[in-house]
Amino acid sequence: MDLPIRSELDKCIKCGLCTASCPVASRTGGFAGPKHLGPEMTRFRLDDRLGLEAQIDYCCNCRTCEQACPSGVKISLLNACYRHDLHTRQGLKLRDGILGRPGMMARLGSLNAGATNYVLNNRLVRAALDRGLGIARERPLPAYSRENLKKWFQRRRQPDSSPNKVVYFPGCTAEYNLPEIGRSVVNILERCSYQVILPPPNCCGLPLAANGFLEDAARMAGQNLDNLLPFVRQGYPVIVSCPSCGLALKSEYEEFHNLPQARSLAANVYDFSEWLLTLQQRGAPASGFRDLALRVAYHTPCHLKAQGIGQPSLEILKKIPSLQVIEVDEGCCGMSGSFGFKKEQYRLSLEIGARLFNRIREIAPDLVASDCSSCCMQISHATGIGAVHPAVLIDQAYGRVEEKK
Amino acid sequence: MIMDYDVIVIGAGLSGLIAAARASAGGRSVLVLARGQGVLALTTGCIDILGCLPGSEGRCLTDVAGGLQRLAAIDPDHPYAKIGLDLVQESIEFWQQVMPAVGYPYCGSGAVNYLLPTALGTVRPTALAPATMAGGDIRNEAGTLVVGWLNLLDWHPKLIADGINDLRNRRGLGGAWSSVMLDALPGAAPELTPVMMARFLENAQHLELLIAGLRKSLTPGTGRVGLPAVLGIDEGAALFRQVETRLGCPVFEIPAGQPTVTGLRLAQLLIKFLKQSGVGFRFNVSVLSTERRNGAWQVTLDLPGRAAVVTGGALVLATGGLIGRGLEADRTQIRECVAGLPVAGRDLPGQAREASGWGRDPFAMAGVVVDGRMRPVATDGDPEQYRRLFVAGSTLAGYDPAVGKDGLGVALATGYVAGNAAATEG
Repeated sequence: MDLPIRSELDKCIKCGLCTASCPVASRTGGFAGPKHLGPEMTRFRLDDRLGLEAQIDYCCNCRTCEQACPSGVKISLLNACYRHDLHTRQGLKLRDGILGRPGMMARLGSLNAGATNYVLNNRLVRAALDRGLGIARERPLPAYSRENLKKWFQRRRQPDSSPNKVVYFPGCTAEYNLPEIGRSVVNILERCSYQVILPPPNCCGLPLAANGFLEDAARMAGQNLDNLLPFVRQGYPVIVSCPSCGLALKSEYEEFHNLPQARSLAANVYDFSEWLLTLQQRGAPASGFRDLALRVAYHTPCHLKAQGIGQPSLEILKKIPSLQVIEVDEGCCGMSGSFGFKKEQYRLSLEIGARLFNRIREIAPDLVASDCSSCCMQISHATGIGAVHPAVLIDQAYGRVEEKK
Repeated sequence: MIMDYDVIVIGAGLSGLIAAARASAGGRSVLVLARGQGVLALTTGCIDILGCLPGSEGRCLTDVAGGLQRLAAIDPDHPYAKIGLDLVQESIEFWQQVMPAVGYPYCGSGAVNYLLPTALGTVRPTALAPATMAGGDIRNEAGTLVVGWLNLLDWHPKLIADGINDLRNRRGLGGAWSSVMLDALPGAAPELTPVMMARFLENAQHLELLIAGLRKSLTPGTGRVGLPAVLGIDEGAALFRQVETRLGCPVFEIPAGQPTVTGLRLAQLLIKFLKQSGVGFRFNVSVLSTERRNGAWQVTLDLPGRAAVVTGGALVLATGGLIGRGLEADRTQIRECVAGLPVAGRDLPGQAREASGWGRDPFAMAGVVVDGRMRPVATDGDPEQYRRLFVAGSTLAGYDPAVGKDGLGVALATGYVAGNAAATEG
């Protein structure tokens, strides 16, 4: 905005004397008056010149602001709607559409995981993705697994049927990229005498909503409601191991998409560690943990904080004998799902997490544990220290050795 | 009955955090529940124990210990009078023990007030001040330079220097205050709030630029330098020490803007310290109801997706007043939002407003009435329903912090007593 206009706007102290003296406004309620239509609306009309439109992409949807707000304002919802509105008017970016659809990409990528991973690690390919699409070349792309969770689940010897059933919604990462997370979750749930049901693999839709594709996200949410509600009606709880999937199922389906029945699903969704901790508190196999001589730094993901359930994984990890667990309480890692992949935001995403990375380097743990695989990816990339989902450690503490392939 | 926690504290403002600290120091397992970050970050972080006596027409008090004696004699409904001055003193000592461990040191004995400059060029009487601010007492007669930057919003060094010079002249104090406005900090945004500037200065190179600029503006007559409170958030007083050492000249901060850097530092560092001491925290949760059942408090939380219950042996209600929204007012009534406790002075329209500008405001005076152990006084119904429930901070009736300048002091003392009672009383 030109400086003279800007200073006109800043001069206004919102006292309302102009409107009180306005002959038109004093005779008709159909005219909001000079204050409203002048300085206030001008800010909105000139918003593109303030650069605010482009800034919406810098909201990384972490929801920290909502945790700080004492008045319960749904700031992320306002931003998601504005982003959707803006992108619909200006045209959505191909890159954001790709990053918003990790499930679809994974289904394609997993057709021949070896070849996909090889190609995606190629420097020339990365340079092309960087220049052509705007995906930062420095950012390692998550590899696809040769055997996804569903295939493993169907291949292995099926455990005996149990009257206690749970539905496990693994999300894209535990399905396609890091199925060891899903395998650990399934093992632990079965160890607790539950029969696990896997619904058809599907993205939760949160990455779409975060990238401005609200309508597509709502469609995805509708599919998941169709997949999951029949189980919920039978009284089976739905377990998620990804905090972002958890947040989508627990709150976004109702808050963002206003879907009927979202609430009855939400009321039955549990984060994996939230569920396990409750079982342990009721006396289920909290015992039976064997020694795990490791020094582990634990980082709480923003989307787990947003669920208001405390730090159940941390509490469980603390019960494992010989495991030294140190909480790293340094806020957001900066990755925020697709945010950290974007060329224009890659450096910023590392700067956001700098304090966290420094603290982790100081602690110098054997491993970092965090419930969010996007946080894990960022932390490993920045510190060079391995990062895993707590379920993998809990599974080891329960005595399981990962099968060799 | 197996309880999740010995003590549940609702509210993460100063009174809630101190109650949690006290109960945790007493060996209890503690959970703090909070809807948001709380309004502690909107304060300066100065512990104002008592700045002004009722009926003194706004005169600044310097003798806090004497003032408290007088207050207890003339105003038996004030929370300090109810607690008793020995426990007020104990809470000050508790603060002095805890804050060095928190890593954000405070200065002051609690018995006398500092007279610190404000961003408006007026004076704040305060008993316990962050070490970064305590060097700014206006009675110190060193030549004082107040510095500003063109890109820092709502910060006017000349307004401060002129205001304090005026006060100094009236009090016959030596040592003139002067001001300088420096160019915008290179590399920073064209308009900075104090919080943005503090984040900017957490980068070592940016801090170097600031120190270099400050060096150039020192003159032989500069005995100390007054800066807006922008010297970092997460590091506590570390950046302040660094600037002071590198400058070779005493420095002090003056809190500015909203939220205030000094308030944010206190809130964040205290929470971090409590987490490390084993206190559990849950932010972003609203409390739907509280109920005493089977000898325990059941607190029902509104979580994304569903309601959840946590149980505790004792409950501390530190939910704030009308600003922190532990109390809510409509046109006819004030009510306590979480436990539905009776509110004294709730029917405001029936009350005549006090005429004097220095008078205490009925909205501020309204609140929950407690006894000396912070237990609500039951006006109706069964007193058993309030068993092991303690109330602290601005939810309480009987004081107006804008007039008494005793806001965080009452939060400290009542939070301490509530935490103590929750940890010990059977």
